[in-house]
Amino acid sequence: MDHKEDHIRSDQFVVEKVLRGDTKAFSVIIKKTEGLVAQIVFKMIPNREDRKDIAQDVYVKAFQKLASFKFESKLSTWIGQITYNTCVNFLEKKKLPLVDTTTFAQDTDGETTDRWNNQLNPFDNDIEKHLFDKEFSQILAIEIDRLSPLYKTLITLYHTEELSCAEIAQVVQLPEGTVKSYLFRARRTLRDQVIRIYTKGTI
Amino acid sequence: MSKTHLLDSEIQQYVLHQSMCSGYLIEHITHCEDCQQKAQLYRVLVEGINQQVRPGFDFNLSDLVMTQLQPASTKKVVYNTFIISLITVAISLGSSVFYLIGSDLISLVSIIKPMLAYLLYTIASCLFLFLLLAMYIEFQRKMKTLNFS
Repeated sequence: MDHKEDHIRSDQFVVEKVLRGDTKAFSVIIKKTEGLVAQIVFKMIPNREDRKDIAQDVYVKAFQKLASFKFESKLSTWIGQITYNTCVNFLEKKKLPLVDTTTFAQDTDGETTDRWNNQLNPFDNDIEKHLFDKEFSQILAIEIDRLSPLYKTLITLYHTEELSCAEIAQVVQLPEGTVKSYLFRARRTLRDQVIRIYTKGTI
Repeated sequence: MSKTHLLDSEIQQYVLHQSMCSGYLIEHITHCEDCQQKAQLYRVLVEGINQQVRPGFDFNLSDLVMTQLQPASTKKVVYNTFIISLITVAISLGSSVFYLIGSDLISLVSIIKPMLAYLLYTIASCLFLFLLLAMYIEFQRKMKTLNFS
């Protein structure tokens, strides 16, 4: 709780500074939140040039709307929300899907698509050694990249950025229960993809 | 131990939040080799995700953004100055017109029929409002171009 209050207090200090006319203080906000923005933009936008434009657009929007920030969440969460919305608008404009509907349709029927039923132990009891395997890490990165933009973003925000489900729900503006359900599906899809790669013997 | 294997969601819960799992779930997984393997794969996946390299922009985002920002106060000053000068010009123009041809205007109004006077007044007001609106839209467009181009 104290940690949250500290966050709000430091956010308040910087935001008020910017609103009083100290534009340079905005660079502190950029430095503090750039990592989160990069995570979302990299996961949702495939093209480098588009990422550059979107990242700038996010902060220009944040600067223009800063006076409307009510400190109901962390400043980083609010900027994350702007980033996500900007990316979603971009994907809609380009007619790119946010969620892969084919994967989504397959994995909505609970446990029935569980590939473990047929493919038990694809690593031949040697799972541990894959943990620090560089090749496994690369394959995992590719497979994460193959997930739909929403799944990728949720997985990254939860596991890499260590945001809580409540915070992620604020960023992506979905109910917390839906976020949990999507996260579960995203992990399962990722697991299925990895199993498929290993059982095909492509390594 | 139950012979029914755990659901995928239960295995994920065991891997991610073991302290929040029920005793039955932990007991099953302790004794079930299949479920242990499933949990182990999820553990590997989660560790793998955690170890992924964090992406970063290969340009200085802060510098790029800062060059595009205009202090809020400066914006306000520009806007206020524009409005004040617009009002001043309108008042001085109106006063000088009235000073020059004021007496003629009054006599003209008394000569022409009231209906015609109202018609002229309405047309003038509409034109004035239309021009004001067009000026404002043009001003906003120019400000936007200045800010983001």
